[in-house]
Amino acid sequence: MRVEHLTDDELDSLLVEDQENSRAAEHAASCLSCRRRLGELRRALRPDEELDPPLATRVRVREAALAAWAGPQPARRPAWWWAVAAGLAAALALPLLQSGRPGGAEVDAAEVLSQVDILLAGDPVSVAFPAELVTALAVGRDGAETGDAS
Amino acid sequence: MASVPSRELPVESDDELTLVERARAGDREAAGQLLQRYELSVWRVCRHLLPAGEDVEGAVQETFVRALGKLHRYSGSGSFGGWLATIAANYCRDRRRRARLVPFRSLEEEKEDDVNPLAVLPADGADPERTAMGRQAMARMQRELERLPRRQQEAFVLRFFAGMELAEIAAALGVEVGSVKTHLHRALKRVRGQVLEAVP
Ligand SMILES: [Zn+2]
Repeated sequence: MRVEHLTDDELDSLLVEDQENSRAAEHAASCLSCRRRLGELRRALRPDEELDPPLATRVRVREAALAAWAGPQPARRPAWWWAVAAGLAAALALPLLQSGRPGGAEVDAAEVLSQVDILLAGDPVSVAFPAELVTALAVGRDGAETGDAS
Repeated sequence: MASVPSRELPVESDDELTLVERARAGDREAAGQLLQRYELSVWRVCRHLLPAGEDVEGAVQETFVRALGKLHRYSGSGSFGGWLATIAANYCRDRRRRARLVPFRSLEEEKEDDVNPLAVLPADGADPERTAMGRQAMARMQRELERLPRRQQEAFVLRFFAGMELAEIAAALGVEVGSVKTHLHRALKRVRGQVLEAVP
């Protein structure tokens, strides 16, 4: 009696759908030849672990992503954080306003801004108080000084 | 996600949702654990779906950054691993689209001899044990994968290399489960020869 082995399509179905109780699965369980064909396909379709990156690489990439992640959103910061941020911004803006008055020292806006950038580097406060705002405080909109003449 | 033979840790779904909640609240350790659980799947998805010659490591990192940036959009209905692998697949799809816009050379121009078996290896994934024949077979399989229509290719990689369930793949590709089965059957037909040659 001729044995009806599984067709390629039937083997594929077993791989695609995990059909545990199908006729094809029952045949594969009892037929050495088909079980071997199915096993070969399963082995070939397994992810190749030899190509996986070493643990050190995985850790490095994961840590880099976590470092780039900002963590909780600014809206969730506690009230004290905003008080400190406001105080810091005021402390930075004060010398700019003073030096902008008539008779005061000439303001080098670029130099001041670069100092501000250094201070704010990596600090989300810089998002709340962008460079444009600091510029507006130190120098008038058209480049004129902002100090009160009176 | 279905179980993928790998070194990934088994996952309890309750435990996973707790980790997601902690990560959403900014808990870096919880976020790290989530990434660690599924990182191998992400590496594999990027390895197989990125255009040839692109930076796999950079793609994995970008996938992680994107996932962490939109943790609030993870509904919890599917597995976190499936969600992560879907972000990786979307990133790779975007890279392939860009690569097509600025083609270096078309696939048709390439000859069989041009296959670089090392192209599928990660930069620092030294592989001294694998035989040259095995590498060639792997490279040919990868090459055949790259020639598949987009959905067949993605379904194949998400199913067999990321271990995703059919329903998860359907959601990732925006198609019905029946379509996923069809894509997988067609893909298997196309790569069957190369797959069997690559059997260790
Ligand atoms: Zn049989």
